Amino acid sequence: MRRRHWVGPVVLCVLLAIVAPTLAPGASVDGDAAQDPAGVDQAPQVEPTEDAREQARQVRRELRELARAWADGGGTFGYPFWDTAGQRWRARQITTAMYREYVTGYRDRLEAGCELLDAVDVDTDPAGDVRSLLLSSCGARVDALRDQQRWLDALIERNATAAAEADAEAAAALDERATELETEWREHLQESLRGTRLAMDQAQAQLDETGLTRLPEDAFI
Amino acid sequence: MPRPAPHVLAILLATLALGAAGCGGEDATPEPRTAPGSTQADPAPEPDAEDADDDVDAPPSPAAQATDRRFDRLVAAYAPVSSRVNFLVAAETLRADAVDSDAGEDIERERAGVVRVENERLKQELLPARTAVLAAAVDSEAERLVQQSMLEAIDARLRSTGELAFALKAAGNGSADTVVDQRFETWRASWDASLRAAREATTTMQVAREERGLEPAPEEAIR
Repeated sequence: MRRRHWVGPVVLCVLLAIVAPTLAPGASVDGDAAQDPAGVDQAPQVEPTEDAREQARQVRRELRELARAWADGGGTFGYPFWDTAGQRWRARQITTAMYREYVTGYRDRLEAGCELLDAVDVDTDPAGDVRSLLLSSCGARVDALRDQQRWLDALIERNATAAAEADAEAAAALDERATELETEWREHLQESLRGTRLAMDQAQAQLDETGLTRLPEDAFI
Repeated sequence: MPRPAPHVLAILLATLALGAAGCGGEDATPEPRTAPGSTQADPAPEPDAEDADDDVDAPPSPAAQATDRRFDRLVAAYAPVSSRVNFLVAAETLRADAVDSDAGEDIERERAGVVRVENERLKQELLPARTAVLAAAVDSEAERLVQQSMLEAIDARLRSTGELAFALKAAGNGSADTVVDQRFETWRASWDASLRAAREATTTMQVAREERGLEPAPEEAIR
């Protein structure tokens, strides 16, 4: 009789031990707390406040203003033409003097473009960070183009020296100068391109975070 | 020794059962994979990356140098695609400018012709590049991500060449402005997707290179 008195509570506790995991917080039906495909046990999503939404829209407006300034300042009519001119020059389809014209044109646009960027009013931190990157990138690219002009001038002079069969020492000095200038403009250019890529990374990540439409991918090309 | 009452024992056992269920129930939610489009970081730095940080002046390890060569081969496989991008962009910029500024049908037609030519030239580079990128050997997770992004860029660009041809045809036949605009928007979306994948590939590669003590690749290598 005493055994029967024990059996009941023990059976009850065994049943509790089996069922209890489903009642404990953070548990799923199959007992695997790591799997929560429905996300029902995650922290409830907090709806953004109206202020947060307006802030996000403000960030987007400012980013679009920056994109417009970049486009007007050489993104649209500068960079692609300068790049293709460089490829044509390397393929000997255009002269060094012609390529220099493209470099000058792009540099002129970009100098005005840096001022346009500087004039864009930004009140939000995310847009401010992107603007800093773009201003730095713009300045580096102007430096690159200025050095590239000097490099092309050195090459033109070097070609003229070689054609005139002039002083070999002068020719060697020009070669050395051209090599130095080439290194400098390439370094400035890489710094600039890296800056615009990071600006794009940040801008798109910010817009993704707030669920807003991204900028066109060539906004800071 | 008197035996405890059954109901007391039941309560004790139930308490133990509930206590055992409460332990070990901590969530082990896996770290989410970095979402595409956000700033990516190399998910799992290779062991040699830690060595690279210890001594800035030391040359990269043999493993890092091998990674360097594999990245260079990926970039070389993709290079013909990168080189054609701005030819198409420049041509399309001039065509769109002619339309926006009402330059006249002759100029619009001429510039549309240049866009068709550049679109075709780009298209011819895409499939061979896709084959070459797919065939390139990859080892680390970062290399696989770069390869995957490159393939996404190429696939989006392949779609875009068809869409651009379709849009130019609509513009050339005098279709309604809304139809032409919609087709150019469709092209634009694919083109954007290709540029985004290229940017992600560049970011992943440059981060991975830096972590391994390698010189960065040219920023314009993957476009």
